[in-house]
Amino acid sequence: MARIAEGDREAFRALYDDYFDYALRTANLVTRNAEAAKDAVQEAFLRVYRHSGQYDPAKPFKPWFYCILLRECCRVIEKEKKTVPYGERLDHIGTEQRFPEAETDIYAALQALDDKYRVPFILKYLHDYSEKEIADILELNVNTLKSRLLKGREKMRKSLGGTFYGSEA
Amino acid sequence: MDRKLKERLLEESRQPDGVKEEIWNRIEARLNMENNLTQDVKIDSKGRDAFMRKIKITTGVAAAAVAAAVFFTLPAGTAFMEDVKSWFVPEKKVEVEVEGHKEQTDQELHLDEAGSYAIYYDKERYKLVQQDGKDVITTKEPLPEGYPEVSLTIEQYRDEEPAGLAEKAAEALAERYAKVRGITQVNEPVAGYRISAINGNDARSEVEVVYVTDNGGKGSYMLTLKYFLEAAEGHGARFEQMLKEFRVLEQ
Repeated sequence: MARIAEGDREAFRALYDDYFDYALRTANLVTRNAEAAKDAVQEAFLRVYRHSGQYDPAKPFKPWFYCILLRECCRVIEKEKKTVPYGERLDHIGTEQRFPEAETDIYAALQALDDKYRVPFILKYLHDYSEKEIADILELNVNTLKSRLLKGREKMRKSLGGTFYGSEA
Repeated sequence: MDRKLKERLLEESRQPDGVKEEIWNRIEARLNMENNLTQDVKIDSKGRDAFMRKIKITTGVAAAAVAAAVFFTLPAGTAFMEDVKSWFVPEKKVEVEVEGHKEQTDQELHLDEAGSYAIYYDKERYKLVQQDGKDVITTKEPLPEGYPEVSLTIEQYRDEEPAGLAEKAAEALAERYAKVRGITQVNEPVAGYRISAINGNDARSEVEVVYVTDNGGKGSYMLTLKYFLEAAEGHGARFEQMLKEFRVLEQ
C-alpha cells in the first residue's frame, strides 16, 4: 500500500489481481446487477488508489477494502452518495422482505432477505469471514451482527418451508 | 447446507471472461484522465512566447491558405458560406474511445454564423445551441437533478491574444474552483494552452477544462469543457474528440 500511495501502478495492479475476483463476486451478489457491480468494483479500486495514503498499515487490509466496496455497492444501487456508516445504512435501505416461491432454492431465499441480513450472509459464506471480520467490514458491533445472522437464519428457514439449513451463527 | 449455500453463491457470482481487463482498462483510463487534470506544468515566459510564436506561424500559414482559396474562388456573403460548407462533408462517422472502448459516432458539421470556425459534434447525444453569442454543445437529454453542467462552449475573443487570455482564464477558474492546475502548452486536441480545474475528488465533482487557441489573427478562441469527474471518460472524452475536429476558418 505504501508503494501504491506513491503512485506505483504496478503495485496497484498486483493488488487488483489479488482482490478483483472476490470483489466482483461480492458486488454481483450485493447489487444483483452485473453492470452496477462492475461500476462499484471500479469505483472501489479507484478509491483505494486515491486514498491509499490514508490506509493504516497496522490494521488488516480486507475490512478496509470491503468497507469501501460495500459503500460503492450501496452508492450505485441508490445512485446517491451518503456518509453514514454502511452498517447503519443497512437499517434503512432494506426493502420489504420478499419471500421466494415455494420451489426457490437457498440462494433465492438468501437474496430475498433484507439487506441488513443478506449482506452479512454473503460475506460469511462467500468469503468464510469470521463474525469479527464481518462486523469490522460493516462497522457493526459483533453482538449486533450475531443477532442479525440469527434472525436471518430464522427468516430463511421460514421462507424455505421450515427446513433447517445450517448451523447456528 | 452451509456448503450448499457457499456453492450457490460461487455459482451465481461467476463472471464472464474479459471483465477483469475491461474494468482495469476503465480504471487506468480514469487515473490517466485525472493525472491530466491535476498535472501541474510550469511554463516560463520565454518558453511560452516561443511556443505561441510557433502556433501563430503555423496557424497563420494555414489561415492564409484558406483565405486565399476563398478570395480567388468565390464571392462573399452566402455564397462564401456555401463554399465553406462544401469543404466539409455535412456528416461523418468518427471513432471515439470512451471508457476503454472504441465506438463509431455519427457527427454533424457545424459552421458558426460568421463562417469563422467549423466543428463536428456527436448529433446523437448532443445539441448545439447559441447562448449569449456563444455556441454551446450540451446534452440532448437533461441530466438528472444534482449533476453538474455538461457542456462544450466555443467563444471567440477577437482582441485578446492567447497567452493573455489563458492567464485570465486561469485567474477566473481560481475564483470558482478548489484546485486549478497550471497553464499547459498543448498540441492536442488544439494547439494552444490548457488550464484545468476541479472541485473535489468525488464522482460528481465539477471539472472544467479550458483550451485557448489562436484565431488566426490578433485574437483567440476559448473552448470550455464542463463535466463532472465520473464523466471524464464519457462526456470529457467525447468533447476532447470533438475539439480535434475544430477548425479556424477566417482571418
